[in-house]
Amino acid sequence: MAQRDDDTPAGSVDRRSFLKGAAAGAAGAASSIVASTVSAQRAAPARTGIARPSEADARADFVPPEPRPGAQFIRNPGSDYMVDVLKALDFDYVAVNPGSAFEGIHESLINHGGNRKPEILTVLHEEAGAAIAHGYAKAAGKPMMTLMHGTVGLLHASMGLFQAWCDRVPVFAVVGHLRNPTSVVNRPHSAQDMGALVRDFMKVDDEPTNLEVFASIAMRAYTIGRTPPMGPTLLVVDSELQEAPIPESASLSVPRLSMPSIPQGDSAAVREAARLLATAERPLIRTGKLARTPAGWDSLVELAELLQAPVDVGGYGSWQDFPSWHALYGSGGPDYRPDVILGLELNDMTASVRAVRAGGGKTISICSEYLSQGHNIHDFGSYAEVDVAIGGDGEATLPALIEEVRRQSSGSTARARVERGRAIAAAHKAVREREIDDARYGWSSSPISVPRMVAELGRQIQNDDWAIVSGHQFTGNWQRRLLNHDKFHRYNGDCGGFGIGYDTPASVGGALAHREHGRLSIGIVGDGDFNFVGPGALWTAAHHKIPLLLIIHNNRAYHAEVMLVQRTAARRGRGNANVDIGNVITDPAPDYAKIAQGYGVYAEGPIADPAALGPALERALARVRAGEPALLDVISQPR
Amino acid sequence: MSHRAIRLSFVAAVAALAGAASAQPPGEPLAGDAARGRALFADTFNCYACHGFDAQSGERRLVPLNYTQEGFITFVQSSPLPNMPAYPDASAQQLADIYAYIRTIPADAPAVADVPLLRDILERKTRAATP
Repeated sequence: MAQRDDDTPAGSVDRRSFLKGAAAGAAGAASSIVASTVSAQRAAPARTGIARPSEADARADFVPPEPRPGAQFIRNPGSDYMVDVLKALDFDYVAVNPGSAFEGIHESLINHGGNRKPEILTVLHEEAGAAIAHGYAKAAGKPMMTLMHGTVGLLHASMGLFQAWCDRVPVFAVVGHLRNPTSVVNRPHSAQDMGALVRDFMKVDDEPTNLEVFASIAMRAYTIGRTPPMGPTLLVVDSELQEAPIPESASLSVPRLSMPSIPQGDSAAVREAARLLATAERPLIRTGKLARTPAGWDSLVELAELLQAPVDVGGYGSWQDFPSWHALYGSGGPDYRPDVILGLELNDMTASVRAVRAGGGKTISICSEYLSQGHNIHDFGSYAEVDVAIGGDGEATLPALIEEVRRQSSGSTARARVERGRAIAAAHKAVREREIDDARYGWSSSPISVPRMVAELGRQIQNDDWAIVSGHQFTGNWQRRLLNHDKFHRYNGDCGGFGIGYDTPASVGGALAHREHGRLSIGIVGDGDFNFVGPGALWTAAHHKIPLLLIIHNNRAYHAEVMLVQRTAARRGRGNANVDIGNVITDPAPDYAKIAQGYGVYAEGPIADPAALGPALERALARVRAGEPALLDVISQPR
Repeated sequence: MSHRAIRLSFVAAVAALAGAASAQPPGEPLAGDAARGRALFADTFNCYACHGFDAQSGERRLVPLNYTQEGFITFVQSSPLPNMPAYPDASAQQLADIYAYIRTIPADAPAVADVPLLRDILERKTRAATP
């Protein structure tokens, strides 16, 4: 929009808003806009002191569509073929915040493609779209597509794509690109090298120059994105290629998707790893982002039970991988000193190496990170001197490893394993009792303690097939302790890049994937996280009828930073008096229930009385079970 | 914070507390006022920020507190831990009050057996490790 230099009277109608309806509907000359504006002026009741825009104002504000040389009636636009190719990739959804650089694909999706597979998911911010696709991919086991405008849309999405990169999750991103625009508005939306804006955290990006190449690059981006270590990919699609008719001379066909198998570890190295594990006296399994699918979960349970080895699922950044109430869950207790540590998709084994090396122990790493091409971001782990390093996907390698461990196990080792398992189970029981005992402190306090919040939720959902679709970065480990994560889909993992703004939209994406299975999805998100793109993501859930209970863990602060600034102030002997400045979200305290209601979502809160939480959960969950989103604003303790 | 850093800080904390307890000259403990200690904990020193309003959270759990009053005072005034700054300006009496408050928390908290929600979680079966 062009800017005016003159002063606008206080209280006047914002011209941008006033003209929005007319401008949005216009397809042609500015004169029709002015005519519509005049009609709107006539229809609107007179309001004292409100300046009406003049025709000159309207002309100045109106942004005509980018002229398309040789524009004419087009029966077979290139974007129709593009949609045919995208359909071959079996996307169920595409997250869209509209933009003129991809209006061709947009139109083809809804008309040529019938808005089915993929169906458009309207998002109110591109970062939300990327995060929804991120959460969806982990829960559904397949990527979602997200479609963006040139530069501005891609930059908005960049944070969400970055998180997916760090979490090793595929997101199929497509950005429209209108090259050489003449409009002052569209010039900043074009770039010499569009992909460069996000290349540091894309597995691949490319910009096809014709439709044949589009198909090839689309297939390639999809297969590369889904090959471990997985990650987002970017397809830059020229606007003119979308708009121009398919050349009559073109001989186009939609390629068949040829998905490569997942890379497994070398068989000789797997045999050696199995030998070490089969003969170990105190093996320990440590995991990072291992279980991509339920098969990975099942395989890990099988291996752990075969070896009677404890499974230490990592903290933030790890996926669930293993049942949290399993007797082998944990590190085996305080007295367990492992002699062999198996790392599965653990991208940093340095601590494990240090732990066992002094005692002559061995370490094994099975990890697809060895296959990483390397990028700018320092999210890869430190180099570790492991004894057996296997470059391959952990989940894909587990069946061969299990078979080898079985083959190399003898009757005597089986008896020793049973004894080991009993001791580990006893240690697990003791740890579990202590953790549950910890939950009683602050049980009846207000603000509500985090374990109370989680336990009240657990009581309400114990008969449902539930899924926690947010991370647990800000709720400690209480979710795993107090909720029985007994199935793969119970937990969807953290954001990956440890930047806030992920949890709410990713919860919507996870809930979307679980909807077709009738699962009850719950997100527990911090108030700081929610304030990024959360409200708009809630609207998407309401608009598309995605059932999700969102619990705002509302400590009214960016609380990690309260702690950090307080620590620094104390070190400098300056006291705590000012540490709230810049860190707390009070005065006024946002009313998240009202915000959610404004977006059409059932909501209650703020809830500060722990006795009121159970009934509020019951009411909100009734709405979610009926198929809609709901929000509870819970005033909670800091951590 | 990495797991390694957490573990290191825990080891350092234990060592520091043990050292503090032994370094403190023997003497009569100060009389602590738990009510005043709660206010100091929540408002003056913002201890709640890391440890929760009821001292129930944080990387270094305060309850149950197994250290002597003297050891506690010395530790807080001269903490060597990276994540727990020293509070040299906190007086011994203030810290004795906070100590008294923290010591009341376990007794004030309900037993797990008296909290049906927690009792139910504790009694529910975990998955057996079938070999």
